[in-house]
Amino acid sequence: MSGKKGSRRDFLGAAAAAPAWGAVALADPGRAAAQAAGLRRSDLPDLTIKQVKVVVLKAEQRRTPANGEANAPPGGRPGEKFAAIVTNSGIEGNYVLTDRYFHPNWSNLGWLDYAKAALPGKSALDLPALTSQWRPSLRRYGQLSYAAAVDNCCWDILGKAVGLPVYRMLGAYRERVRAYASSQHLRTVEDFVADVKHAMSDGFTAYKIHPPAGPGGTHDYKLDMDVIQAVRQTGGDDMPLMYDPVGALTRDEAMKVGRLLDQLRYVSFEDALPTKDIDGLVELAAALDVPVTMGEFLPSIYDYVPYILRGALDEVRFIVDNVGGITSGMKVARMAECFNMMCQPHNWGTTLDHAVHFHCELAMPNNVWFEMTQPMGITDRPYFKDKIRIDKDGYVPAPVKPGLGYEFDRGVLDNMTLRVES
Amino acid sequence: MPEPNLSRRKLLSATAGALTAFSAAGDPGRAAAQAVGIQSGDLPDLTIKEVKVYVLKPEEAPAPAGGNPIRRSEQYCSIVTNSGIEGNYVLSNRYSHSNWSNLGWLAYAKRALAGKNALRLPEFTNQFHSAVGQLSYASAMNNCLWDILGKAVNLPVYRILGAYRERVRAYASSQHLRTVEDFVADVKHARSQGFTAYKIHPPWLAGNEVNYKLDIEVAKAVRKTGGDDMALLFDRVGAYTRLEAMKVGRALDELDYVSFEDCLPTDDLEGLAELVKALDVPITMGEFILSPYDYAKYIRYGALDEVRFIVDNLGGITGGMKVAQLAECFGMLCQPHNWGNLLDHAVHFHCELAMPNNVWFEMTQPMGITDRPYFKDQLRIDQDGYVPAPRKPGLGYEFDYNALHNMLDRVET
Repeated sequence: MSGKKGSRRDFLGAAAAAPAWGAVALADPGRAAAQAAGLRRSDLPDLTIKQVKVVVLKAEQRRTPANGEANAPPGGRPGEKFAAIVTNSGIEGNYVLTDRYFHPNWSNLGWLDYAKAALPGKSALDLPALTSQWRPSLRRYGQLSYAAAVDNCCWDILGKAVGLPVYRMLGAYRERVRAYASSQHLRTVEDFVADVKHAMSDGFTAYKIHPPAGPGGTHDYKLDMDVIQAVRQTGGDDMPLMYDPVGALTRDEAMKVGRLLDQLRYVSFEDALPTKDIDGLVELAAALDVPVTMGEFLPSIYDYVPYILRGALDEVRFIVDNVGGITSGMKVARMAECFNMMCQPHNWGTTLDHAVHFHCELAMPNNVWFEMTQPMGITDRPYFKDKIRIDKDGYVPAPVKPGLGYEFDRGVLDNMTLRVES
Repeated sequence: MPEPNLSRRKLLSATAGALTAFSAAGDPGRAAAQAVGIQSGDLPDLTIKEVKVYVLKPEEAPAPAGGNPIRRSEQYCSIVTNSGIEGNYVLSNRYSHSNWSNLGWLAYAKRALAGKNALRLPEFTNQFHSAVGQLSYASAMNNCLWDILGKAVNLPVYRILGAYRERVRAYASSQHLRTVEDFVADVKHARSQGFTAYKIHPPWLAGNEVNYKLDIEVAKAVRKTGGDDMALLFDRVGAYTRLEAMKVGRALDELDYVSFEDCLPTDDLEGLAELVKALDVPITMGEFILSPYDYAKYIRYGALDEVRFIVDNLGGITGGMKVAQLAECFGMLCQPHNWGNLLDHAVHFHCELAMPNNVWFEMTQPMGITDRPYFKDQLRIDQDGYVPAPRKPGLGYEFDYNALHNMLDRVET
């Protein structure tokens, strides 16, 4: 008799002798029954969390691409950081840590201290219990950005444990999602014309404008209108086009630009106004045909309510980092679906930023778009074996690897590692 | 060189020599995982091979105290994968009403599922663009496919949905008993079993008439018998007029009830909105809403305080979780229906275990009424009055297929 401390794996490896069956039946009747019927199921590894750590990469010198961010700081970039949660069985879940927008509300850099206190000894399978903000005593502080990184890592672990890409556990709805090329904040009309041509030559069938940002936070909506016209002219009549000024317009400017978008049959007017201007958004959504798309700047799943009840948006966006990870992103997606609204999550940044939103999209019926950061390939890193690319029809195929589906090359990552914090 | 259609399983059981290179080409993620010592699950072939329906012999069972005699003729649908994993759900003609029946399931499922992969469940069952209304067959397929996925990865379904809790507090949910005395005896029985909460399904008189004054007497007697600390719920299954509902609601407020369910017919949005404003007791609606896309107006109108759903009406566990998460985003509690057969309970229980915004498990009274010889597992509360999560994979309540076969009338294919 192997005794109660024998793992399931030991039991399964044992020859099917009579006493062993008895022991299996006691310990795990479902499995014993399955085996008796000739089934072999996945043998789930121990998903107790053993360790949390942060991998800090060395600072990198990277060239800004020709159609890159106008305001990107020149020269070196600080090293990237990745959260890691490791189980007893050695499965590691990862997500990216960063100081988005250089704003503390958007940063998850304090993740390690939090995760160390909250996670070791717990099971990765308890993921919503680890990160939910439902209870009023938790919710009163606002959404915890660390929770999103924990949640994403746990989904990565669960996927790896069962050998499935995350979207197949969320419930696969599609196997690929149509991409739009999502521009950088380029400077001139000519920059955008060149960028649209480049995207079309890459095979993109849709394009989103992030218009030029003026110095000192100023914004020239008339320049935006020139860009909007030039992009329609370059892309042709059939290209779906979107426009996202990231909340930089006044009400009056937004209405003027919106009329033009209607005329040019754009399919999305995103962050037309600052997110907190609900009254202005209601007015826009009622006046314009182009769908008003909002949600990136909502920092909790519980903040979408007034936008829906008051008609302040037509299509819903979310950033999983702001709402508690993939688990919560799916909640917003499902809420939108129940209100018959399309949901087009944010998809910007590194490969893993894209990955977590992509899995949500693949599990949604009410989604059309994958947002591909321009230029395609900008998310490539030597320490990722996998790259995000469109297929010949302009769609991004679902990842086939388990978990988040984009795999680290650990050898390369180790070479680029400055230190591991734990 | 092995032929390309060699299964993963064969490759994995081979020794890690030259074959590893081939393995890496066929499944790079797995190979990489193995190279660093990770052993992730080896997923069986989930292509759907067969769909069928088990029809059991008709049965008569004695009436539970105060209830009606039970005539059963149960049916279970079954979806089987190439790897031999079987997913099951119950088929029945609920309320003897065509909108609520899924008895035509087999012909539909045979056409829709054969040769497809069970992992693509929402794709088969989603109704986002449906012009003809929610398809009840979709729910049964969805539930079976979750059962299959859970069995394939060896997890109870709620752990794939995302585990929030390991047990849920139960209320004893009465039959439609006949008299005040019946209810007093039933509450005592439930308390003696360890229930800490109770829901009244009040009496039906002859001809499906209701007497709201009798209902108020029942509500008072149950409060008195249950004591001040027992959580009490009341469900008229939509049979009051607006005036009756308001009168009963005032009584429930005074008696400190925690839920007033289906107080009006579901289509009376105006009446519901009025009740929600006037009463403290939460108005709980949703069982008779027949699609995830029909909840929006109730929320906009303020026609409910807490949300209910029946997965059979909105596309299975996948559809149920959509409504649960809709409710959560609106800060609302969600208390799914949980009535009937053991598998009826199971599919809603998994949703509850994955929800932060849920308090209750509805246990059909008397506890044990869902036991069947062909189920190895039974639904019971623990010593605190909570139902512990199932530990077995899939829906978590296992068929004894031998016992099932003994009770079979026929298998339809």
